[in-house]
Formats: sequence, C-alpha cells, structure tokens
Amino acid sequence: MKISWVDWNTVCSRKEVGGLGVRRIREFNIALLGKWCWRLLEDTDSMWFRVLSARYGVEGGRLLGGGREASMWWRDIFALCREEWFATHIRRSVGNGRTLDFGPMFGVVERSLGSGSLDFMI
Amino acid sequence: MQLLGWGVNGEAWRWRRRLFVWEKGLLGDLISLLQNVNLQVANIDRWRWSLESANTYSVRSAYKFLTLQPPLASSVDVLSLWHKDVPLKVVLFGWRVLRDRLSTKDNLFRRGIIDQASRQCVSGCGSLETSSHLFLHCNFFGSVWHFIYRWLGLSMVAPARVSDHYDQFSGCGGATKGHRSILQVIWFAANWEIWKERNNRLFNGKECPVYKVVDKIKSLAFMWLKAKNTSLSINYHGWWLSPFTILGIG
Repeated sequence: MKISWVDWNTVCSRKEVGGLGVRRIREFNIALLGKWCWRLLEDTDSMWFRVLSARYGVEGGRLLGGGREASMWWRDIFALCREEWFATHIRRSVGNGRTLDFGPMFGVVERSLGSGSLDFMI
Repeated sequence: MQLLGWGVNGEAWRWRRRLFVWEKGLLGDLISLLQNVNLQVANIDRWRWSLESANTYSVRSAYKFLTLQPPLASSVDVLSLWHKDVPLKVVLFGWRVLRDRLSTKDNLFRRGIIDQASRQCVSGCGSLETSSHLFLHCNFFGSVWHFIYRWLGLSMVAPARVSDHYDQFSGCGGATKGHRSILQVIWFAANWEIWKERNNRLFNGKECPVYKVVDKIKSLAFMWLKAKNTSLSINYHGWWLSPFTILGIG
C-alpha cells in the first residue's frame, strides 16, 4: 500500500507559504488562457482579433460574444474575459483620449488626480 | 470627445431626448470629474493590467492571484528551507521532517500500518519513535547534537518540537546571513544522517557509534558547501576543527 503523506493542497501551495510549489494546473491553465483575453484587448492588429471581429463584431473597441451561435472556444474565452479575477484588474488608461467613449462598456470609477489623468474600470 | 467640449453645455453632451432629473445629476458628476483633466496628446489610450508593475498581463501574476491563500501552519521561515547548497532530495526530506510527515514508527502506527508493540525507537531506549524523539530527544540519536554543539562552540537546550529546533539552531550563531546559511546546511546534514542511521539500524541491522555519525555529518556538510561554492576557501582540516573561524565569520 502506498501512503499519502501530504495532501495535494499542501503540495501545491506556493513555497512562500510553506508548500512545495507544485503547479495547480487548473489555475495555471486559466492564467494561460487569460493571455488570450489580454491580447484581444491590446493587440487589435493581430490576425486573431481581425478574424474574431469579422465573425462576431466589435463594440467600444471590444469583441462581442456572439451568443449561443458562437464557437465553443470563443464562448469560453469570452466568458473568461468577463470573470471577476480578470475584469477587476483591467484598466483603460486614457492618454490623448482618441478612443474615449462613454458608451455602455465603460464606467468611470477611478481617477488619479495627481497626474490629471483618467483611468477607467471596465 | 474633448474636442467637442465636455464642459457644462459642451457639444459632447448632446442627447436624443431630454434627460431625466437623476440623469442630469449623473451628468453633473461626470462633468465635474472631467473638469481638471488634461489629455496627454503624446500618449495613446491603452489597457493596463493592474497586477503587474509593468502594466502588461503576465501569466505569473495571474496565477499568483488565482492561487492566493493564507500561509500553511508552520512556524519556520519556509523560504529559507530551499537552501541552494543542500541537495533537493534533502530539502524535500527536511520539508517532511518539519511537517512531521516522515514514516517514523509513530506515524506508521497512527495510520494503522504497524501495531502498537513495534512502535519503539530502534536505539533500544524504550521510547516511542516520534520525529521529535528521533531527531531531538533520543539518548542515542539526539546526542548527536551535543557533539555538533561542542564542535561549533555553542550551547543550547533542545526545544520540544523539531520545527522550533530548526529556528533555534539556524539562528544561534549570531544574526549574520553567512552564519545562518551554514548552520542550516549543518542542520540538514545532521537530520539526514540521523535518518540514514536509523534506517540502517532498522532495515540492515548495521550500527554506527554516535561519533561516527557526527563525523559523517561534518563531511557531508563540508561537501555540500564545497560543491556549490568552489571559490570558498576552506580546507577540510580547518572545517573539522572550527568551521566558523575558518570561514572568517567567527
């Protein structure tokens, strides 16, 4: 018989908190998929953005979900972009205001007064 | 939008219908928020990821956020455990020692692997083989530490728990980093050799006297230090006599 000496939660905890630092693959996978969400925001010249915007449309600079008709893959990524852990850490930092639009996608929340610049939370 | 004018009555605020009163309130708030804003013509609008100081997304920062959790119960400085001079398998061994997850007889008994009668320490001292007994308090195995203390010119009383001993031992040579680091190496070497001696006695029926176990600890710690720090100017003889003096941090 093989004894389990240490539970997975401990094994997978980060070294900083006393674990062995083995990756939690579920969370790691989500973090990797998050890169998609980021690229589709940031890199709007990319082929994937162009494909998806042709297929599903864009509003306020962001891709639309496409509803139930959309591909499984895109539905998953789209849902991920709206998950709290991702959405709460995304900000729109306004420079020259060229893309500024107080449309449905934005809510004014945050403002750094010192620099007189604007930040938006989506 | 700013070009159109976003002050009160600015051209940016044209609406298809008359605003309700509560909407006017919101608009007033927005206009006052925008009042002191100067757009930076030289910079384009961009997305920011607030978990990274560089403001761009990274898998590392996302993974870290997704796995945030309170520290596991442990009293020791958990990062110091990952000592660069100690072989990884020994670090993992030490990690298990500090969590009391080694297959000591007491642990095996608790999990129903062996029966009550065979829980005794292999040294024949008559006590139960718990990790704190084996690594600290046993008349045979624990006495290894007396020799180690004498070698290092230290004196201390063994605490009740192995994890407290790790802290106490690695902190006892003064506060310098160099001291700490070397004492940690010695701690790993000592526990490792104690465990090997215990296994040798239990499974191979071979016994080493305590002074020989201590000799092995000294050589092992020396080899680990030398292997990873080739520039380290210590010779075996000096290490043997007085490790701290020879390292120039005595």
